[in-house]
Amino acid sequence: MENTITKQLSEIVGEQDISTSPLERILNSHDAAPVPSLLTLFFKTMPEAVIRPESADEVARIFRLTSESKTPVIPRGAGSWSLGGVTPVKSGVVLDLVKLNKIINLSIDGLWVEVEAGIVWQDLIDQLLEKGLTVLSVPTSAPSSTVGGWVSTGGCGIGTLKYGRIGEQIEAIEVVTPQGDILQVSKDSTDPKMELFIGTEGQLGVITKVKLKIRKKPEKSSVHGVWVAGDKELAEFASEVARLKEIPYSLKILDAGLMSLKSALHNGGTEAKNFVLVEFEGSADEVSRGAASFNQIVKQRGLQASDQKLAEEEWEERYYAMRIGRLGPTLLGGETIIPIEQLEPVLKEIKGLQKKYHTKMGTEAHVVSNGWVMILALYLADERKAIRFITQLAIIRDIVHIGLSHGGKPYGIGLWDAVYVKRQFGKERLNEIRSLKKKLDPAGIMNPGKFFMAETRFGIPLHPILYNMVMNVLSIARRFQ
Amino acid sequence: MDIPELKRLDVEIEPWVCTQCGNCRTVCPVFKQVGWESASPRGKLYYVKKLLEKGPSKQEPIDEEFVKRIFQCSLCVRCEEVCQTKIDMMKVWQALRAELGNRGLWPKEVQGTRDAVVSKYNLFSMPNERRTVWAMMIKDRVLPRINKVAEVAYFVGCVSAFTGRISGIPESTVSILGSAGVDYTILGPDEWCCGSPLFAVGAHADALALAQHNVEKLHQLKVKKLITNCAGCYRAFKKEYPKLLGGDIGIEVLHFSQFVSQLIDKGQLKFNRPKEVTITYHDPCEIGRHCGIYDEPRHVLTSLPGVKLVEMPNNRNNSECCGGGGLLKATYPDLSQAIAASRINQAIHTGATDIVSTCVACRLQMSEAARAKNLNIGVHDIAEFVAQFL
Repeated sequence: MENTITKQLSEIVGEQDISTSPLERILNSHDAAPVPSLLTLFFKTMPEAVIRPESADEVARIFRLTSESKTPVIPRGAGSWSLGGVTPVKSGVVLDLVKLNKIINLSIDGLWVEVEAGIVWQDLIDQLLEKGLTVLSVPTSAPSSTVGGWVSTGGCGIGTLKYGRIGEQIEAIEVVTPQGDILQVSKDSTDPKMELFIGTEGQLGVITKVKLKIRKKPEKSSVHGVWVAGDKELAEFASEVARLKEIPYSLKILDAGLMSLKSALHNGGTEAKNFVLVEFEGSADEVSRGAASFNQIVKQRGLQASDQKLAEEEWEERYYAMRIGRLGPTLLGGETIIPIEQLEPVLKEIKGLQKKYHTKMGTEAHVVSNGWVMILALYLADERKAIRFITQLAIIRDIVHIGLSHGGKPYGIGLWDAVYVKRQFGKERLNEIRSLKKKLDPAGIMNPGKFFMAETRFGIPLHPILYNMVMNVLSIARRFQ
Repeated sequence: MDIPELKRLDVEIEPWVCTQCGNCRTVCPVFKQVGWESASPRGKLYYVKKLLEKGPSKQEPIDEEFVKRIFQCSLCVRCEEVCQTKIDMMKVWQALRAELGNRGLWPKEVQGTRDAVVSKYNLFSMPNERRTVWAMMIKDRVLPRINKVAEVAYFVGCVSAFTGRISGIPESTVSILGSAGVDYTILGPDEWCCGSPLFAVGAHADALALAQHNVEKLHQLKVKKLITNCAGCYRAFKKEYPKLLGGDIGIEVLHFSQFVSQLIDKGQLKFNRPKEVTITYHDPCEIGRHCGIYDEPRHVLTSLPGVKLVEMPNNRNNSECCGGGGLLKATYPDLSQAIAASRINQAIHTGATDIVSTCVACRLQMSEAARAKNLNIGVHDIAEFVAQFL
């Protein structure tokens, strides 16, 4: 990038809010995934500069410059995702939203809050709780991730079962387009439609404001833990609980593999059986009824309730799925959303990977509606052993494939899963996204080289067949170690 | 590149154990002020991982900005509290600071502090004989105690001993001990810096002579119980000395608030001067998160007649740092003050008129920030506060 553009950018945000230092650029060249440098060689991941706008207006002015010079712009929240959504592919400018972190408006009567997109979920929750309010659902990464980040990456997590995905909780958003226009888009807007901006990973513009529905702090909550031995029993039980009239706030499965890894972390002690964690929250009456119906199901099925202390500890630990990472030292994982009736075969096949690849695996599954389950299959790896690590990375693809082969969908695209974009959105929706992309980002500067198709630094697209081939070669290479 | 200090403290694997989840970013008091990824704990770990990945034979200069960021840290270890994989962040920061020292990359303030402590046995490069300067007004009560054989020793600490503005802390301590009828000794000029500033930069070897001297001296005076107002001294004696000296030091180490809590429970302290006041308690990092003391100071404060204790939203293990630790106050005073102001504003928000702490550095830091930023709140060490009720 020309120095002149850096200079012009610094005139917009001020010198204190732009950095071209080597350290800052390295730290903004990646997300939470441990990606070996061998793989990033294909891409220009090092940004030219990192810039921190403080308002939508500044973002718009930045875009007017970058669209003219055709400089890629990569929006960044907390960088806590791992599919490469914030990893630069063709260098450019990283737009760090860290300074857009405030609550703008709050309506206690209307039960909505308008926030800047860079606000961290935990900070938002803490501020709302002071006023006796809280959000509807939260990402499992709530202690670090931002509102804008979750809106852009799918928005499925804790509370989704009761309140739906993030898209159902948004009243309106403010988006700055790559040409520098500031759009106010509400759920009733028809051109463009708001839903096209949800989960499209910063391809259509930068979300700078979000108006979210909120709720009163629940009057009561009730946590339950249940041990379930077999996967078939587990799937049937989860299905039945998900269909309860009093919908649980959260229904989570920690499979036997995960419980055994957790046990290893604490030097044994916990049973290595499937564990189901259920939480009800809401009015006292609603919660009591929910708990009673739930206990009825447990009793009818002859299941064993866990120690209450364990259930409460696991609920406290709900944002800490990566605890077991210490055993790795690297923790990898694959995500997919599957139909609930496929839970049993999916869990079985994921367990098969453990044998196939001689690794230790554990699966956390969130029931996100009465029909769908979000699967997060975690496994241990060791980034320090470079060659073996690349083959271990390939297991992620196997996990996603298991989901897809059972009627599931990918959860997130980013850079690494660009081959699945059609599977995630469907042909029709993807066409809508594409045509809006053409309209809003004709120069193709918005988070380029990913999502629609992974594109290497040389401008050569990684074709799905090629991508699969590379991954297969890597899997084969593994056998020779 | 090789980073031997990470091996020495057994944390070489931690940069890989870090999941880059970013929980530390949200709570880091420095990140909140600075806002650049390089100031976040996970950012620092990522850079270290990249250095280590280059292999042991590869040497290259360490990034200057990284050196700055390593010292832009108050060692509050709130990062450790929220860490997914429970990384021992204190050890990581100690090791990295020590490594930078070995490479001659310490900021001059750090080098100066280290030299003062090692050569003059105190933080301020003062003649160590002047350690009792704080007792000027109460000579009669203090001087006879110096080098006396007693079961209890009062370890004053450099900050209280040499900082005239807070001489009220040791004075109040003497009043409380007197009122409770405790027989105690003071080391006086034979009290050497506990080594806390050296531990803050991982210079354990430099601290050895100090630790040996202090423990030997205490043993000579037949001391069984050591009490101190200083959170840094407390942490040094409690956590670092046993590791450094290869085992139990044979002396019970108590923070003064713990000792006062015991005196209250034994009925040895009578509070004759009630005062209606609403206060909040600031958990110092080195007393709370580092050493797990949360209850005794609260017990003391709520035992005082007329005192109403209100909590800040961030309390106990989620307490926010005052910005005064980790030598941050010396290396980056403006940043340090900004952090203090943020904490004081939280205290004011509770409706309390006074904030009490159990760390002399917090007390000094918050008083200065309150004055500089014109924030209206009384700042006290627990000894000063308790003494008002005698």
